[in-house]
Amino acid sequence: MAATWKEELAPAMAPELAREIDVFESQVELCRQGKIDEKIFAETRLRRGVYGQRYDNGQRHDGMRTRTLNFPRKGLAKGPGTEFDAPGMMRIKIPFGALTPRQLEVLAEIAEEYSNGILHVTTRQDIQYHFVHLDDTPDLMRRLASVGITTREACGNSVRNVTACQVAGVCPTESFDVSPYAHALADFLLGHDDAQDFGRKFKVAFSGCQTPGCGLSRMHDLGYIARIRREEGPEGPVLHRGFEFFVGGGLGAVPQQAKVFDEFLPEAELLPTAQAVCRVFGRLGEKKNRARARLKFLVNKLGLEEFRRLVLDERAKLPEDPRWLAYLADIAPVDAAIRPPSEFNPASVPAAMAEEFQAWRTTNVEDQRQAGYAVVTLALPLGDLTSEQTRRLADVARKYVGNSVRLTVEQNIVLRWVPQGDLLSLYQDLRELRLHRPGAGTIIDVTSCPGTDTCKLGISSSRGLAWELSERLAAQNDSLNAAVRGLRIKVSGCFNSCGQHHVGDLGFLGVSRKVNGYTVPHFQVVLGGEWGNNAGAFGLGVGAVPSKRIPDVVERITGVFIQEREGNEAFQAFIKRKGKTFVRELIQDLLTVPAYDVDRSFYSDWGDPREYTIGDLGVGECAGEVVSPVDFGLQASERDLFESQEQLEKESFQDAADMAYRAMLQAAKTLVRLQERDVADEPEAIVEAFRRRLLDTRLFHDPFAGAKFAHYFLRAHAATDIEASPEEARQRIEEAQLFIEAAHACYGRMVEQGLTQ
Amino acid sequence: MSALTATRLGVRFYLTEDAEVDLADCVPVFHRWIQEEALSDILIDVSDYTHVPDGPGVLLVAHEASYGFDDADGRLGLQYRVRRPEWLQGQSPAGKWRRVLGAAATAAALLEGETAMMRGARFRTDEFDVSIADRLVAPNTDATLEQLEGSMKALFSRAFGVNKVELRRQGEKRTMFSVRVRTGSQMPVGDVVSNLEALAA
Repeated sequence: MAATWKEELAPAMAPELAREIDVFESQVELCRQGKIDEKIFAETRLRRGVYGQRYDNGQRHDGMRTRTLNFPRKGLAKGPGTEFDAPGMMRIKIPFGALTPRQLEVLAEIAEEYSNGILHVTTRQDIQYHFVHLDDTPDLMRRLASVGITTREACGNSVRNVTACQVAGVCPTESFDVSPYAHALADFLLGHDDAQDFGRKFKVAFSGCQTPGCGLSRMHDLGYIARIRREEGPEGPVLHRGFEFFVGGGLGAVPQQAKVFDEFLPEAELLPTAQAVCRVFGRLGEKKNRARARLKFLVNKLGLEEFRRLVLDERAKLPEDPRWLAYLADIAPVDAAIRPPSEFNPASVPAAMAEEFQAWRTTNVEDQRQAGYAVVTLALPLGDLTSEQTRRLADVARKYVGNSVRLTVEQNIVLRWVPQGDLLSLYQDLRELRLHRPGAGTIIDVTSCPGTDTCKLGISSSRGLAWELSERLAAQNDSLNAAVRGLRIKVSGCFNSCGQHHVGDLGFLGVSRKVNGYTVPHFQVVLGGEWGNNAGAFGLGVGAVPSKRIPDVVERITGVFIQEREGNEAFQAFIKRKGKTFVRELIQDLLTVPAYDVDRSFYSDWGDPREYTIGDLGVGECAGEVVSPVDFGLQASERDLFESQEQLEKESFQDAADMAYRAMLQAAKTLVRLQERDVADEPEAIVEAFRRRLLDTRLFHDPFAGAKFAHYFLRAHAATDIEASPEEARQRIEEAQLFIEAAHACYGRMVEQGLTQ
Repeated sequence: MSALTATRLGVRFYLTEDAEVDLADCVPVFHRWIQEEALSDILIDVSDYTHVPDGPGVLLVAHEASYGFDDADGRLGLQYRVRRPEWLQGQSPAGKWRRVLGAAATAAALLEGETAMMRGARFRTDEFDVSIADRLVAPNTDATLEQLEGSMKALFSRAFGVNKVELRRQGEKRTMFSVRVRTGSQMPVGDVVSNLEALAA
């Protein structure tokens, strides 16, 4: 066994992935030594999925007073106001939620060794771990990389996880399987140069159909709904694949439905158009005012027509990229059955198990498009499962479905391609793991963001409320009217909508209110959202209710719904018909808070005995820090320089000299790209562009040293094939240091003179 | 790399079979421990995972370690696990287990004192589990046990005041290294703390 995970996993990792993680590890070391700018490091780690967590400012209210957490390396920060030693959250992107059994096993190992033994499934098909220390993150990333998972751009101002409906490929109503397209776009945009200069996060979703439309495409920055266009050709009808393409949707504090950019975007245009949107967003998107920096604000500001014009204009100028079409040559399903189709035999169910099995089958099993197969949903409590459950789920997957495992945006897991004849056996296996909870997709399957449990922005306990509601409704399940059982409840801990409360039938978002001098947890009630139809509509806010009265609100509103609906009227239509005033009056008496000495339970939140406070609210990292590509680029050159110095210390003189040259090349490329965006990544091209754009124009000239520092770079480039002596390596490093300083100064001059693109 | 270098050590004490304790009652207890600084660790937060079957139960997360009161596999117990390797830096193999066992036993004894919650329930000392959350240096194999058993047996027999300690490796190769320790001791867990403190002196 090797001494480190780096050595152990080197054969299993793609070299470029291994190198990226090594680079991150060196950045963590620089941070440990206090040698990296806090803002830059914060955005750097966010772009690797290394997130902050509640109390990472080193302060926590214990119910009586705010207490300082005296972490060992007090004052050492991993971001503005964020203690180095404070535990954090790690977000793992799982593109369109697809996981293999081996990946499940590694995810389980990581939960045990670096976290609290729990995997949390998010509302964007990610996995999150909590209480992870920054020191552990490089090895965590390596272990994930060894099974093909990256955490890159899971957070920060980047393209986040690309999601897709969990039944893509097996759905009876889909136009076609969107999985390969989601996969291609996720790969294409990952680390793409045109997606590195955003002022805010960027979210993409795919759906296979309009209705029921579980891909939520209308509430994303970029949303796609699969479409087939039929044209009559000389030899008969020709079917073309494409997408109804939406832009500028989003939830957050101010939700907005996406607008139709193109009713039919041909599949060949999927990648280049997305790239063009990224360029426009990077160039014109807001970067100073974080609250207005999402794409939706840009689309509104410009108007859809102008936005479209700019995007198409950009599209026309894009240099050809073979990746746009390469994947189309071999479009194939991402997963497939491993066992033959079969029919379910009801007589095989033991009598003692019949009732519970039927309850589970009714809610957790759907027929696939392909005869003889079913999709089975594992309803996870608050999206959580243990490492042991995950590990044994890998075994279950291998037995029945192979790689056909997907996370869902409702914080569950689905197994696809389950032969109908295996349903009983699968149920029994899931029962052993205690993953057989019925009620998937019903009112007891409540979605919630982490809220005050771990999020710095959480105002009220979304998870506490969600579980309370789930338990109460589950206890009443048999007596619930079917129309109520089919409703969706979604809970967010604050207005940022990570729990997607806007699209729940009943949505709740955490707020606080001052009552008689006390701060009391409340939830704003939002009714009548439409989750289906790709997030078809947002709910109506009706007012803030004390947290402890929310279960009563649910009971009362659903009760009146059943009594007063017209025929088979849907809940959304009912709320719309009845209106906000009616609902408000209906729950008026539930808005009151008992006096403190009458009922103190109102002054704590669900699941938390501490007296409630908003004193623990911190500065969120959801928005990341806006760090320009130039900052990143020059920081990368300084990191390369640091590594060259390390090589020198180890007396690896050639490596030291090579790294020093690379540091200069990185700095040169960063400056050149300000004026020539599409310069090739080849050293010769960079050097040529550097000469033409920066040296010959005297832009790079130092006021006192003239072109001296530029020539350090050109000499190093000319000497790349020559072996460096120890003295030469040392000198190269000194010159690289001076060149990078000159690059910073040059950038400053370019900004002053308005010469950046 | 030798398993003797492992630092992510864990100890799990079990309550006796007749214990009737509600996991959820531990939530306010752990919150109060933070208020009172009941343990010497940097206590950070309480996480309630009682909604997850066979999950970590109620977790008290500290910088150095985590304390979990749970009913995994149907047995109520306290799981202690080191989170930060540097907390055990510089310790000998026996020294590491002494520190870890001491911390776990201290928490267990403290929990026994929470009479409203525990209602007289007691932690067993005749058997407990130890584990290592580090598959790189301590995979769940007989070879790992061979490397560790000498130092473990020596320490545990002195800590529990017995002549003989039995170690039996548990789980499968892909799970964390885990050992069931049988001491046959009837010693209260508080006395284990005293013994370990004497060993450290």
